[in-house]
Order: sequence, then structure tokens, then C-alpha cells
Amino acid sequence: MKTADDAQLAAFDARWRSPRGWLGFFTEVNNQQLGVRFMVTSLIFFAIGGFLALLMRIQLTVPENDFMGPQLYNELFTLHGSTMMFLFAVPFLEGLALYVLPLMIGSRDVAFPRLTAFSYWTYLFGGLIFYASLLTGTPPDAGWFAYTPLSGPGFAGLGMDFWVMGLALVEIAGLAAGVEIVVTILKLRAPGMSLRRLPMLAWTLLVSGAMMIFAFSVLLVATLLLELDRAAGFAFFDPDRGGSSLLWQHLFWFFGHPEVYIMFLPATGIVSTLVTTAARRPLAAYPLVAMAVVVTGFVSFGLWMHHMYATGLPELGLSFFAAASLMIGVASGIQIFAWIATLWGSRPRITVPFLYVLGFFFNFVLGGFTGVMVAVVPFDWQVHDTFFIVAHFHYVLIGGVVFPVFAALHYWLPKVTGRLQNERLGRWGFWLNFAGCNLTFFPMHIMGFLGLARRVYTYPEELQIGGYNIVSTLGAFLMAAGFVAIVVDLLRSVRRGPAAGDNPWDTGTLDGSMSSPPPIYSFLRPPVVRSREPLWGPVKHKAGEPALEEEALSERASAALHAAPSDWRATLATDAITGRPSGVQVLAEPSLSPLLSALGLTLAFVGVLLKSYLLIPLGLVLAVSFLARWMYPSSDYNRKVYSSGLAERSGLPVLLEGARSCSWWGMLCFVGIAGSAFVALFFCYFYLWLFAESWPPPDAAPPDPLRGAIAHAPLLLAAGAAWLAKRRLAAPGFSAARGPLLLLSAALAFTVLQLGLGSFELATLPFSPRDHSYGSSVWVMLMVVLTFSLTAALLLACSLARARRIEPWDLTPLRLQLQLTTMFVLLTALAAAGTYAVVHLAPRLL
Amino acid sequence: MNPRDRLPVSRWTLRFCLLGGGIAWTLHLVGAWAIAEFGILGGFAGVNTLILVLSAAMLLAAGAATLVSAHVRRAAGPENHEDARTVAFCGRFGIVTNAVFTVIIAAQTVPVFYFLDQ
Ligand code: HEM
Ligand SMILES: [Cu+2]
Repeated sequence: MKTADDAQLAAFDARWRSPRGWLGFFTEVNNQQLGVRFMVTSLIFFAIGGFLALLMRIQLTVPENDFMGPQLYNELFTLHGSTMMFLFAVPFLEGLALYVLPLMIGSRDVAFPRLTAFSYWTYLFGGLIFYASLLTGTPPDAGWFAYTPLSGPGFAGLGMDFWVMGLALVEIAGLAAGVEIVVTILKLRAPGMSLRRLPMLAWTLLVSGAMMIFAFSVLLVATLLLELDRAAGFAFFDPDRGGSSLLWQHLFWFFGHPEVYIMFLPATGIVSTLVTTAARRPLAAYPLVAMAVVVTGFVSFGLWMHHMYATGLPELGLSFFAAASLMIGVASGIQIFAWIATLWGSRPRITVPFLYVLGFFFNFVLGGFTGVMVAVVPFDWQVHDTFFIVAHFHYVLIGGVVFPVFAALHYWLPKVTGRLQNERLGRWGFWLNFAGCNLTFFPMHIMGFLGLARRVYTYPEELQIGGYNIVSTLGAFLMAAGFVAIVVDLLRSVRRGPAAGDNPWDTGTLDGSMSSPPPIYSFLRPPVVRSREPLWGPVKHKAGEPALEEEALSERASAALHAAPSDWRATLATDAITGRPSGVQVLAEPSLSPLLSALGLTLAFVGVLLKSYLLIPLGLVLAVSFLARWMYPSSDYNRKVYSSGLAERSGLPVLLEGARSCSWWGMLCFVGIAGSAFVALFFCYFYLWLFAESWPPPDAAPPDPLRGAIAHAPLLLAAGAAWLAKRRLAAPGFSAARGPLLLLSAALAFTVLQLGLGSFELATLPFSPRDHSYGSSVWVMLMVVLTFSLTAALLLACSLARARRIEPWDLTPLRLQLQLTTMFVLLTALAAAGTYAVVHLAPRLL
Repeated sequence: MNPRDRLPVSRWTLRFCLLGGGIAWTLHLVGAWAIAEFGILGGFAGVNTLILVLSAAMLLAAGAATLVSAHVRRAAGPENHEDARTVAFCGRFGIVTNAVFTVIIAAQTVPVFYFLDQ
């Protein structure tokens, strides 16, 4: 008996073990490994960004300093700001989520392990391209929000292209991570973890992941349009040809404001976790805090305009945004009171992570206070673009994001490395950081009032702020020393720290239930959860409460997955609201494809940079083919799963379709991404129209509605056919694939027809995309529809190929494939219809 | 039998209860902004009226979400088993969240009256 168990365990272990050797490094898909890579990479970028900040501070120490010139200063604050915002903060939190989330919610991995790898590689390559801009001789210098026309072709050199394309890759990484996080939280929680038992960190990550999906897709559109302006001479942001600089500001801040909350919300989740642990009691007012998190997520999207108060927009609109700004303050207040209530009367252990939480309280309250000040419109007009603003956002970002990040680092490091850190060194690190941060940034408030302008490389003697600046620079060096202390502590503990034990902080969440470091599959047996803090003792059933049928279900499923399956990787899938087990989710295994498709994409982007028009299609083909290889389901695999008997043992389906399957939710997220990208494009079109003298410009006639109708209508037919095929396949008692085959072929034929007609229409447009922003926007919309159409054709062809021969075990996967394909074709049809209405009808009707 | 079907309220009710107010608020904000920006710059006369109509509709939607949440809370019945507790949680969460969004929508509509005078 023992030996059989051992064999089972060994087989299970082998199934999950990371592949070895250097090839293994590139095929890795495990959430723990990749989470650590994300965090390490982002900390390296943090160090680089911090170094650049020190250089700026040295320059500003004394008036009229000639340590550097204005050009270098511009480049430094641009690189510093962009590095901190795009390459450090969000990626670190993504890495933390990848690592901690499955441990906390009781899953063996995240929902799409290969997407994790893809996300990491695109992030890394994006960061490298970004810094390669230093080699161009003209590094980017337009600030982290890259306002046009400064960032346009007229002012910025090649370095700006590197900035834009590197960023685009990082955005793709962020989108992938957002989808990953949302689907994992919705679908892969431990049985019993209903919505009301979701750890607060998971709530915040859920909201912030959803925000990433919307915000990053709009930013991606913005950066790609900017690159079209720069590389291909389009006119979106060029006022001389009907473009608009304000358009960039709108698109950028639609992303930029939520971005702050994308970072801040998980940071509050970290704080909630640490406060709960320190107080050793459940978080007070849990439903209210969850509410505050969700409300903040929504409302922060409404705030994009407060960055544009100085641009003279209609007052009515402004009053809306002032109200929304204040609302966010209230939601943050609720969180703070909940933390205080949790800590009230408890005797918290002042550990190093908790010190950072206290530092967070202090700094963030100050930053929030100045935030409310700048939300008052007339006040903002006064301090706009002074160092007051610099002080404000550094308090918010360092207090609100960096301190929680450091807290998380100290808190989960023992889990990751299995070793404790040095308490003394940790305290030194904290006090250096805390004192440094306040010394650096507090004087900046005063300097701002005294008139020190932001983004200017020096200031005159007469301003009489030399003293403040010396203090500020001193503080920056203290912070640097604090960071060095953290790194030294980290490296020391990895090599010589005492063993941490399973649960060094005595937390109540599931991550404390396993060894440190955790096994690579996290949970040998999926845990069944009965309370919000499962480790703080089991919750007693109230007397007379009916025995739970669900609990028996959960226990059975959990037992069936004990050290199993060993022929493939799997974890339990649960219902998004009730947390009941709903199926066994198959998880992807190591593969080189994510790396290769990320490389293909990077190659295409580099092609844009080098204006090598061979590299672009080559890279794209590479990317798409490896993407296809990575996703294409194999029939053998399906058979293995189908005939394993796990379905009988666990009482759950093992081949999932519809809303039970993670892929379905992933596709839903993708529809969200594509939908917001389209809305952003429509917005551009109407926005440009609004400010145009005549639209279309006098020398361009809008495309012919009849021809347009003929070119786009086939997509509606394709969507109908695909939908019918899906219905037929789902009908009970289905046997022959005839009907779906025919319908699928029809859908494919319609799509190909649209590709032909649409390309013809695009090629024969009576105007060029380079003459006027009108042409640019029409051209891009039609082009995007064609790209969608091409993707739809590929998906349909895949489904068709699979539907030709169906073994019993292929039926469910095929159904799922058709569901996803249909969703995509429907989306394409919708996009085409919208584009038709906007491009062909609107100019004639309005 | 599929355990999904045994909740006391339908899935769509639950979704509306969890997200209704937020979505109404988003539509209100985006709509009002679009009307203000495009309407004023485009020289359209009925801007204020349109905003009021939009605000009324979205107030109703968010208010309805609040009421539905109250219904969800009641439908959960006595909280003596796990499902009831989950549904009750959704109800409580919905009541607070949707009420907050209703209040924000109302608060954001007030300035319109001020502009109506001008
Ligand atoms: C290590 C401590 C830091 C120091 C000493 C520092 C210092 C500075 C300085 C001197 C500037 C330029 C101000 C100007 O002339 O406009 C700046 C800009 C900026 N910093 Fe930091 N910073 C630090 C950390 C951070 C962190 C952690 C973040 C974000 C998470 C951040 C985000 C930014 C941004 C977004 C800008 C604006 C760049 C622009 O104007 O485009 N900084 N910082
Ligand atoms: Cu903002």
C-alpha cells in the first residue's frame, strides 16, 4: 500500500517538476518561478530608475548647477518616470499576484500558465527595447506621458520610437497578466471559498486586473496610433493635418489615472493582509472594504480628466470630475477606518513588514491630503507643473505603492526562500527609507509654493530654495541606502538566514498552510475552505445547521485530486460566486511556444523601429504560428483526460466547456480588450471630427456606403453560420458532424470573402491616410476590421480541421473551441457593423 | 442535479446586484461627459436637458439595483447554511455599493441645475 502511494506521489511530483537545464529555463510556465522572475526583473528596473533619480537630485542640489544640461535632464526624468510607472510598479504587483494568489486562494497554478510565460517574455523584451533607446543617440525626452507634439515626429528622435514600441510590448504583457489574474480569481478558488471568503488581496487584485484590461487596451491603441504618426506619417496628433494634441492627452489619461489605482488597490490589499495578520483578527467591516475597492475601481476611470484642468475644457464636464475625485477620497477613508478598527485594542507585533505598513499610513495620508487639495480646481491652476505636484505624486506613489511593495517583499520572502531575514537590517532599511522619503519630498511642497517649476533642469539663485534642495538631495541618498540595506538583507537571508518554518507570521490565509518554500504544485491536495481565515482554527457549525451537501461534494473532489492526476496537470475549478467545485481544470505544461511567439512579436516591433518591412510580416507570422501551436489542443491529450476515470472519482466533469472553463472566461476578457480598443478608435474619430473645420476634409469624399455594405455584410453572415454550427454541435444526441461542417465551411467562406472585398475597398479608398487625420482614422478602423477578419478566418479554419474527425473525447473540447470561435466571429461582426456605421453612414447622416 | 440551479435568486439577479450601480454610474459619467464635450463644442442647444434625462435614467437604474439587492438580501432567508450566507453577502454588498453609486449620480447631477440658470 505504502509503495503504491509513493509511486503515485513520485509520478505526481514528476508531472509538475520544472524542466531542467537551460532549455527548461525558457520553457518554464510555473506561476511561482515566473512570479519570482517578474519580481526580480522589476526590482532591477526599480534600481535603475532610482539611480536616474539620484542623478537628477545631484543636479538640483544647488542653483544654476552645471552637472548636466537641460537635454540630459529631460531624458532623465522621462526615463525615470516611465521606468517607475511601467517597468517597476505594475510588473512587481503582477509578479506578486502570480506567486501569492494561487497560494492564497488554494489553486495549483494560475489559469493560463503559458500566458504567464508569454507575459513575462513580452515584459522583458519590452523593457530591453525601452532601454535600447539609450543607444540611439536621441533618448526619449518627452516626459513619462509623452505629450504630443513633443513626442511626435517633428520633435523627438528615434529614441522615442523605442520608447513607444517597448511600451507597447509591456502593455501587451500587462493585458495578459490582467486576464490571468481575473480568470484565476474567478475560476480557480478552493472549494468553499465563496465571494464572502475571498481574501481582501484577491478582491483588490480582481478589481485591478479588470481595470488593467480596460486601461491597457486604450493605452495600447494610443501608443500604436502614435507610432503610426511617427513611422508612417499618419496625422492623428498633427494639428496641421486635422489631428489633435488633446486627443493624445485624453487617451493617455484615460489609462493614466486608473493606472495609479491599478497599482494602489493591490497595495491596499497587501496592507489589509498585513493588518489582519498583525492584529490576529479578521478584517473589520469586510463587506464595506470590498465595496470601497469596487467603487474605487469604477470611479477611478471617471477621473481621467482631472489631469487636464489647465487645458480649458467646458466647466460642466469639470464639475463632474471634481465630484468623482472627492468620492475616491471617501472610499480610501473607509479603508483606513477599517484598518484602524481592526488594529484597535489588538496588540500588533511590530515586525519589519508592519513597520512599512505604518510608514504607508503616514505617507499616504499626507499624499492623499495634498491630493484632495489639487482636486480643487482653482488650487490646481495655481500649483500646476510646480514641484508641489512632484511632491504630491511621490508621496502617493512611494507611500501608497512602494512602501506596501516593500512590506510585501519582507512579508512573503520567507515563504519564497524558506529563510528568515535579519530583523536589525530590516529595521535599518525601513528607517532609512522612511526618513529619506520624507526628507526628499516634504521640502518639495514648499519649493513648489515658492515657484520651483517641474521638469526644469535648474533654478536661479534668487528663488532662495537652495537649502531645501540640499535637504532633498540628502534624503534621496538616504533612500538609496535604505534600498541597498533591503537588497543586502535579501541576499544574506537567501544564503544564511535561519529556516522560516511554514508560517512565520502566523497568518490565517492558506499561504501559511504549506512548507516554505512551497512545493512547485502548491497544494498536494486541494484544500476545502470553511472560513475567511482557514488557518485560524476551523469554524464551528452553528447548532442545528443542516449538514452541507456541498461540503461532501467538495471533500470528494478534493480527495480525488490528492496527488492526482499524474498524467497531466490539473487543479479544481469552482463557481465564481458560490465557490462550489464545478470541474477539473486542465493546466498547460511547459512549452517553448510562449517564448517564441513573444520573440516573433518583438521581431515585428523591431522591424517597425528599423523600418525593415520584411521583418514585420516575418515576426508576425512567427508570433501567430507559435501562438497557434501553443493553443492547439491535441486529441491524444483529450483522450488521456477523458479516459482517466477522474471524472467518476471526483464527481466532476474533466473536459470543460462554456462558463465552467477558464478558456471561456479568457475569451470574454479578450472581447473586453478588443471592445475597448474599438471604442477608443471610434472615440478618436468623433473627437477629431468635433474639432475639424470640415469632416471629411473638402478634397476627400467619404467611402461609398453601398460598397462598404457589400464589403462588410459577409461578416454578419459568417457570424450567423458560426453561431448555428455551435448550436448544432451542442444539441443533445448529436452524432454526425455533417451539419456543423457545412455551416463552418460557409462561415469560413464568408469571412474569406470579406477579407477580399474589404482589402479591395481599403486599397481603393479615394484618399490617403497621410493627408488628413480623417483618412488616418478611417484607414486604421478598416484595417483593424480586416485584421480581426483574418484572425476569425484562422480560427474557423482550425475548428473546421478539428471537426472533420470527432472521437468521443474530442466532442467537449470541440464544443468549447466552437464556442470561443463563435464569440470571436460575433465580435468581429459587431466591430465591422460599428465601423460601417461610423465610417460609411455617420458622415452622410450627421 | 446541477447545484448551480439551487440558489434562491437567479444568476442575472446576482450579477445586477453586484455590478448594476457601477455600470449605471459609468454610463452616466461617459454619457454626460460626451454630451457636455460634444454638445457644447458642437453648439447643440439641449445639452442640459439631455444630461438631466440621462441622469434620471441612470438614477433609476442605480436605484433599481439597490432595491434588487435588498430583495436578494431578503430572498437569502435565514442565514443558516452556506448558500444563504453567500447570497446574503451579495445582497448586503449590493445594497451598500448601489446606494453609494445612486448618491454619486445624484450629487453629480446637481451642478447641472446651476448651469441651467445661465
Ligand atoms: C527613489 C526615490 C525617488 C526620487 C529621489 C525621485 C525623484 C524624482 C525627480 C527629481 C523627478 C523630476 C522632477 C521634475 O523635475 O519634474 C521625478 C519625476 C518622476 N518620478 Fe520620481 N523619484 C523617486 C521615486 C519614484 C517612484 C518610486 C516613482 C513611481 C512609482 C516615481 C515616479 C516619477 C514620475 C512619474 C515622475 C515624472 C516624470 C515626468 O515628469 O515625466 N519616482 N522623480
Ligand atoms: Cu489622476
